[in-house]
Order: sequence, then structure tokens, then C-alpha cells
Amino acid sequence: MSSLYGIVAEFTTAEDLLYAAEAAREAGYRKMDAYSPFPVHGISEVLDFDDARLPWLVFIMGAAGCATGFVLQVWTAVFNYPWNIGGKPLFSWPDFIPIAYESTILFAAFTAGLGMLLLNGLPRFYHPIFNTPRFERATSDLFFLCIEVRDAKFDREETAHFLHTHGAHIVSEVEK
Amino acid sequence: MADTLIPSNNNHTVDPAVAGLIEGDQTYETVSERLASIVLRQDRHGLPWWLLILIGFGGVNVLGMVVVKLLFTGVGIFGNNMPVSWGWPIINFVWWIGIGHAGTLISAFLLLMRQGWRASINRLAEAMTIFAVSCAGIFPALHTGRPWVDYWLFPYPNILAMWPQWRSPLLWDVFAVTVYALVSILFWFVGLIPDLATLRDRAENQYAKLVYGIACLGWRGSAEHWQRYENASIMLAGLATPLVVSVESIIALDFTIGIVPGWHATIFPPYFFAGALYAGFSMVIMLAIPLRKWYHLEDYITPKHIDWCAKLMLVTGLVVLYGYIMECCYAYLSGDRYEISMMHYRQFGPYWAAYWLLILFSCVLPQMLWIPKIRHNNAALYFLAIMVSIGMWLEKFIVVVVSLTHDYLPSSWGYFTNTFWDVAMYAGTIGQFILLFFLFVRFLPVINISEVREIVLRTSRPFRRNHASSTNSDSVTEPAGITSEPVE
Amino acid sequence: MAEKTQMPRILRRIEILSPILIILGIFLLIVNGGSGIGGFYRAWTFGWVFWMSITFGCFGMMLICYMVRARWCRPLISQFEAGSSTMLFMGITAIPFAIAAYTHHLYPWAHPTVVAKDQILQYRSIWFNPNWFLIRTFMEFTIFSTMVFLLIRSSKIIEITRSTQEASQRSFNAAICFVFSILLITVAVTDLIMSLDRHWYSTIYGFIFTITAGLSSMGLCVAIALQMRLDGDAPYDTLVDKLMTRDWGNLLLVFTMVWAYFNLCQYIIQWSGNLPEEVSYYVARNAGLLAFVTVFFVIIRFFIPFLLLISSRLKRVPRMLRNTALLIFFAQILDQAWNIIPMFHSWSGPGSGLRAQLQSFPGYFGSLFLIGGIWTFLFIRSMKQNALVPNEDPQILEALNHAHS
Repeated sequence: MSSLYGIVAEFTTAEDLLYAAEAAREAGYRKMDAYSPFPVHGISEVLDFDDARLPWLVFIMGAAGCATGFVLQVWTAVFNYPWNIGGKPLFSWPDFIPIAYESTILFAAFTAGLGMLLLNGLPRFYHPIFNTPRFERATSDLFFLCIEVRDAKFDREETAHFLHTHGAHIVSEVEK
Repeated sequence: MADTLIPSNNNHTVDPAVAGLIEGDQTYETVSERLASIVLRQDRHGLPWWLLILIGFGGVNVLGMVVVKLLFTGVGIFGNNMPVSWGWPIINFVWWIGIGHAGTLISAFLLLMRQGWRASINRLAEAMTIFAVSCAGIFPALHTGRPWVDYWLFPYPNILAMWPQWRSPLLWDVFAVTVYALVSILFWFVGLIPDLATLRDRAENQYAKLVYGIACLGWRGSAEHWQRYENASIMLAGLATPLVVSVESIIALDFTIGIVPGWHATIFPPYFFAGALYAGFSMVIMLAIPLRKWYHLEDYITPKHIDWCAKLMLVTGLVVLYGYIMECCYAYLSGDRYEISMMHYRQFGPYWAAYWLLILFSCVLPQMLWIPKIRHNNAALYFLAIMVSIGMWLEKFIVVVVSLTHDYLPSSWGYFTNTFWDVAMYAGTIGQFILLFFLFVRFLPVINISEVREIVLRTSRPFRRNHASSTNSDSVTEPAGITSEPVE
Repeated sequence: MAEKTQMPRILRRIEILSPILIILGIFLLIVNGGSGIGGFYRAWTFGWVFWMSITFGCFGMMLICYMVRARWCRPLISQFEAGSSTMLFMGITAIPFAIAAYTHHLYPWAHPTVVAKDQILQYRSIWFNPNWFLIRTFMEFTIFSTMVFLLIRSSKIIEITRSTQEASQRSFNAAICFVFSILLITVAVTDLIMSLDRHWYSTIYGFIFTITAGLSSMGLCVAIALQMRLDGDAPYDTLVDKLMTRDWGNLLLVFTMVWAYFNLCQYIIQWSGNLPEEVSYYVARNAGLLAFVTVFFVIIRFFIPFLLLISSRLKRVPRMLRNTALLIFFAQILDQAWNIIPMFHSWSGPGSGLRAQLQSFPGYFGSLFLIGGIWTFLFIRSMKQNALVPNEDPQILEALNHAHS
């Protein structure tokens, strides 16, 4: 029993997946996840999942990047290595804009890309869900809904039955 | 495979936003199979692939020889000499960077605008970006004269106790191009992750499975992951779009910050950007037309995609034309004798042929794209794309060479001639581009599979299952949101 | 849909506002009488350029809507049409410029004494002379008004016949018109605005004017549409949904960023070039108290709207988006003031600096209100004549139905 990860239902269309997920949610299941070959719109609302941390992280890191770029230039050009170039003032802020801008983008973009991976817990090469039969087709044409053991309402027979009655093509128990 | 089929029957209404973006009777499975097999099955790469790889490989060897010659002899092997110290290397650098820009714009800006037609060509365009930037980067790195100390360009605490010269646009360039290369690779990789997972799951070869498995970082298509993934893609697109504008603008500033006649025009940044896209869209067309033919991708890269690219080529071409008109008219209107003299020298000086060919290639001929028939004729379109590419190269030539040979003092006027090595290096980078691009075609999916699946979903109404066995089918309304919202 | 005859509240309010604006405008212009005919011309230029930018912006956005036929266009298109239908009026109110050119007012090239001392102006007189100026301005507005007339007429035909063929023909015509309008407006801006300055020129100036025009007219029309949505007026309450407000917000954001981009290009290039005839533009705008105005202007015009619009939450809340759009519209007053008013003093020598500018301030507002009053009157009149939201061609209808299914 302890080695069980969850019960996974297989669907053939995104619509079926969404329908079953909605039904499961209404039935009181909370700890579940859906797996699909492309983002299914509306599923994160159904699974009540919305992570707003990423945009904030990106914004903050973007601002930090801007500050880094600008401060680096001001410090080096005005204080650490003051040098008259073309009669321009030491603090020639208009000329500092491009690099500050580029470093804003650099910081923000890498926060968006790597932050997404980190928050997703990737890379992670082993995951129990890969034990699902035919799961290799989750990246081609099949849709899966997993109700996990840690769900309060989880019951081996009842959950399997529930999924069976909600359009699941195949329902399988998946080990950890 | 009856159970995987989404019937695309004819009596449903297709979302007009995606109509014509995919052809044939397509299901998720056919899409995955057709697109993944280009990578997974060697027999889909025929003679054209081998020929191009051979050409590309030859080019890379030429490039290698030029680099060796350059390292042992010095930049004197190029035609660069006073007064034109910025000859072909900078021309080619600007030209290659420009070609990259269309790729970023196609994938990032069209994602923001929720344009479905990006799905089939964004991967190809992004790859084009990265390879073009890699070709571009070689030129300024080598023409510094002492490429082994190029790291001096970056700010780091050093024993020379010096810092870079922040007021120089050339340094902005270093930052802009570096950031652009890094962000393009990141954006490309993030876009590749779900497709790498598809390849992992479809590969039969154990080694391929392992490599793609590691590369996709264990992607499993979880809904939670998709949500963050889409969020991150939108943000990356939102960052890449202003980035790409800034890169070409900063390259334009390399010229305009100086007060050399013919360079110091405020229109330069936007019109350089438009020129970059112009060359880039022509390159997309030049790549997409043969690819769809050789790999039988007509169902995915449809005439509609080609038409869109052609239209964008026309639009950017018009902005470029506007730039030429502004440059020319304001130079004559300004009353500044040097600007007037420069414009006159461009049009009627020793390089007059380059100027008028530029006008012909990138201003006159592309006006044919107003005619839908031309846009739908692949041969004509291919011809125009080549003309535009040449035209955009000539534009850089005119900007760099003509202004430098004819600035303020007659004592510093001159005439520029290129050498064999200039041409060899340019040809070498073209070879490098071809080699990298066709290796990419061989080893990575050339079309974004997961996004095309979404197009499949949107072009065919999902198969309605009969939930007869369902206990509470009455209480559950039809799930909203599958087809109602355009893809974010 | 029952009370279709009932005009939306916001439009009725604007209708009441327009006579008030006209009276106030005339009053302020009379108050400003002390600054003489020169003062009147300067005031007129400011008010006219502001409303011209809105008219031209509406025209450009109308053309874009005809071309792309996107979903976000639909609730705005009748406003863009109404805004561009004031083109003829803008042409008529441009008459004072022609008169000023002949009576040696306003433009440095029209002043024989200034030209006599200035080689560059002598050279430029091939282009800048009263006759040629009059002909060009007349031609520009004739062409603009004809374009507006023909396009709106074809829209009315499409509204009745709902012919797809006519609609795609209109798209093509709009594309051609767009190309020529950009060229024409550049000529117009060079003639009417840039030549107010003695020597300064910038090749990006036509683009800068175009983007401010597009941005502020978009701000105005989005604000009105969202107000109608907030008041619950018939088609808008259902038509304007989250996707729509997000698109509008994103467009405003893109335009704001492009505005900043064009201006920054011009600034960095001219600041770094540091050539006297160029950098004088910025020196004039950074002298004394004006430096504070410049900083304030950049904050209002760019930083505040930018930071507001990158938030995706704001774009979902109509009230907040409306306020942002209004800010963008009103910032255009400051934008054009910052752009134009210092130009008047670029050539008339010392003694006409800040003090003279402050003295003629009532006049600036006067012409802004007077032209604005008539403009809004024409705008509302045109809005009344047409449906608030066009039927549009079947293709787009299908798309809309699909999106709402």
C-alpha cells in the first residue's frame, strides 16, 4: 500500500480530461495532477492551481539587473576610473542606458527560463508517473489524470471506480 | 488507432484564426509521427540533406583556413585600411545579426500577439536566429586584431586596473549581442523541452532515448508544469521582443553616435531594425520553401504561412524604403553641406551602382509582393527573397564603406577594395550557417510539435464522447475553455 | 438593445462639454489678445497640433483596424472613424498657418530679416517658401480628407451589404492609404511643426509624431469604450471582455514602449553627437525650470503608464485600464506642449524666453479648448450617425461567434 503513488486514468481527448478533472474536483478530490501533450486551457483553473510567483520573480530580478548594470557603469566611470572621454561628463547617464537595459533583459529572461524549471522541480529524471502504462504517449496523443494517494479522499477501489465512470479509457494503479 | 483519432469532419466551423494553418486529415498522432520521424528516421534525409551538409562542411573548412591565416598574419589580410577600417567584417556582422532578428520576432512577438501561424515556423526561425548570431559573432571578434584578448571587452576587475569605455556604442554592442545570443538560446531551449520529451518517448534507439531524455530534463507534461511553462514563455517572449529591437538599434547606434556624414541620422535605429527583419524574413522564406518540399511538410508549413512571411517582408521593406526616403530628403533639406555631399556621393559617386542596385533590389522589386499571385508563387517569392538578401547586404556596404571613404576632409577620402580573404570568410560563414542549420534539421524537431498539436485541437472540434456511463453527466456542463479562448 | 436610440452616458456628457469648451476657449483667446497676433498664432499652433495628432492617430488606427480586422478593433472602430472624420475640419483650421507664412509670422523661414542673416534658411527656401508651403498643406489635407471620405463610405457599404469581397478590397485600400499617409504626415509634420525651429531637424521626427498620435488616440478611444462598458451601455457590456481589455492594454503598452524607443533614439543620438544645431532642441528643453517639466513629462508619459501596463491584473480591471488610458490621452497635451512651445523661442533671440511663454499660456489653453470643443462636437455628431459597433463582414462575425461559443 505504501508503495502506491496514485491511480491514473487515461483519456484520449483534452475535453475528456477536462471533464473528468472537473468531476473529480466536484467529488472532492484535491491532490491530483493532469498530464497532457500540450497545455490544456482551463485545466489549471479546474485543478485550482495558479502560481503567481514567477512574474514577480522576473520583475524583481529585472529591476535588480537594471540596477546592477547602471550601478556598475556609474561606479566604474565616475568613481573608480574617472577618465575624460570626448569631453563627455563623467556621469553621462544617457550613454549608460543601453547597457543597463541589456542587463535588465538578461537577468529577467534567465529568471523566467530557469525560474520556471526550478519551480517545476526540473530536471527530475525519475518520477512515479512514468510507471504508468502507455505513459510514453503522454507526450504524443494521450491525456492522463492522476489522483494521488496523499489525497484525503483517496480510496483504492472507489477512486478507480470514479475514474472509470468518468470517461477514463484505462485506469491503472501506479507504484512509486 | 481508432481511439486516438479526433475526427476532423467537414461540417464543423473552424476557428478562422487558425484556418489554413494545417492541412490534411491530422490527429495528434499523425502530427507527432510526421514531425518526430524527421529526427528519428534516417531515411527521411535524402540527397539534398547530404549535399547541403557537404557544402556546409566545405564552407566551415574555408572559414577555418581564413581564421588560421588571420591569426598568423593579422587583419591586414582584409581590405580594411584607412580610411575604411570597417570593411566587410562589419558589413557581414550587421547583415548576419539582422537575419537573426526575424527569427526572434516570429517566435516572440507573434506569441505575444497570439498569432497561431507562428507554431509551424517558430522553431525553424529561432534556430536560424542562433546560427545567424553565431556567424555574426565571428566577425567583430576576429577583426579586433588581437582576438585572443577579446575578453578585455567585458567588465571584470583586472590587473590593468581599467574598465571598459561605457560611452562607446561598440561596447554596448558587445553587451547587446552577448545578451541576445544567450537569451535566444534560452528561449529556443525552453521551447524545445516538450518536443525533446516527445522524442525521448518515441525514440527506439537506446542512446537517442538517453540523450533526449537528459536534454528534456525529465519533462512529464504535468498541468502544473504547463501553467508555469506557458507563463514563462509569454514572459520570455515579452522580454525577447524589446531585446531584439534594442540589439539592432544598438548596432545602428554604432554608426549614428559618430558624426560622420551619412551616419548621424536619428532614423537609423528603427530603419536598421526594419532592414534586419526584412533580410530575416527573406531568409525564413529561403529556408522554409525547400524544407517543406524536401521533408513533405506542406501540411504544416502551408501557403498561408508563406503568404504571411511575404506580407511581413513587404511591410518591413516599406519601413526600409521610408528610411531611405527620409535619409535622402532630409540630407538635401538640411542645408548641411557635408550631408548633401555625402548623399550625392552615394547616388552618383564611384559606388553609384551599389546604391541603385540597392534601390532596385530592396525597394522596387519587392513592391511586386502587393500582388497576391506573386506571394503564392514559390519560385517568384524565392527569387525576391534572394534579391532582398543581396539588397540588405548592399545597404550595409553603402552605410559602412561609402560614408567612411568620403567624410569631412578631402585628405582622408579614399577608395575601398576588398580582398580574396574578405570573400572567403563571408562564404565560410554561409557554409557554417548551412551546416549548423541542417544538422539541426537532422537532430532536433524542425517544427514545434506541441504547438502544432494545439493547432490540431483548434482546427478540429474535439470528438464528443458519449458519457452514458457517467453518473452525474447532467450536473456537469460541457467544459468551457477548450476552444473558446485563443491560445495564450 | 431595447433603448437603441439612447446615447451612452459618456457620449452625452462629451456632447454637453463641447459648447462649454468652445466658450471657454474663445474667452481665453480674447484674454490672450495682449500677446498680439504672434501670440495668437503660437496659441493656435499648439491647440491645432494637439488635435491634429488625435485626428491623425484615429485615422491611422482606423486604417490598422481595416487591415488586420482583429477582434480588439471592433468596439473601437466607430470611434476611430468618428475621429478621422474630423480631418476636413483640421484642414480648414490649418488656414492660419498659411496666412502666417505670408504675413511673416510663426515660421523663421517666413521672416525675411531672419532669412537674410541665415545661410541655411536661404538654402532651404527652395522648399520652405509661402507658396509652396500653401500648396503642400492644401494637398496634404485634400488627400487625407479624400481618403477618409472614401474609406468611411466603403465601410458604410460593407455595413449594409456585408460583402466579404468589399471588405477585403477595403483592407487592401487601407494598406495603400496607410503607406501614403505615413509619408504625407511626415511631410506635414516637417512643414508645420519641425520648421518652427530654425535649424533643428531629425529624421525620426515623423515616426515620433505618428506614434504619439497613435498612442494618444488609442488612449482616448479605449477610455471612452471602457467608460461605456462601465456604464453598462448596450453592446459594450458584453462585447468588452477580459481578452479584449488585455489586448487593449497590451497595445497601449506596446505603443508606450515604441514611443519611448523612438524618443530615446533621438535623444541618445543627438546628445552624443553634441552638434549645436541638433542638441539645441534638448538644451532649450532643459533650461531652468523646464528641466523639471521635462523630468515630469517623461515620468507621466512613460514610467507611470509603463509600470501600470505591465501588470496583467490592471489589464483585467476596466476601471483601472480606463484611468491609465485617460492618463495617456492627457499626457499628450504635455507631450505636444513640451515639443512645440520651446520651438517658438528657438530663433527670436533673447528676451523671449520663459516669461513670454508664461504670458501666452491662456492662449495655449484657449486654442486647445476652442478646437477641442469643435472637434468633440464633430466627433459626437459622427458617433450619433453610425452604429456604436459595426456589423462587420461575415468572416469576422464568424470568428467572434466562434470565440464566444
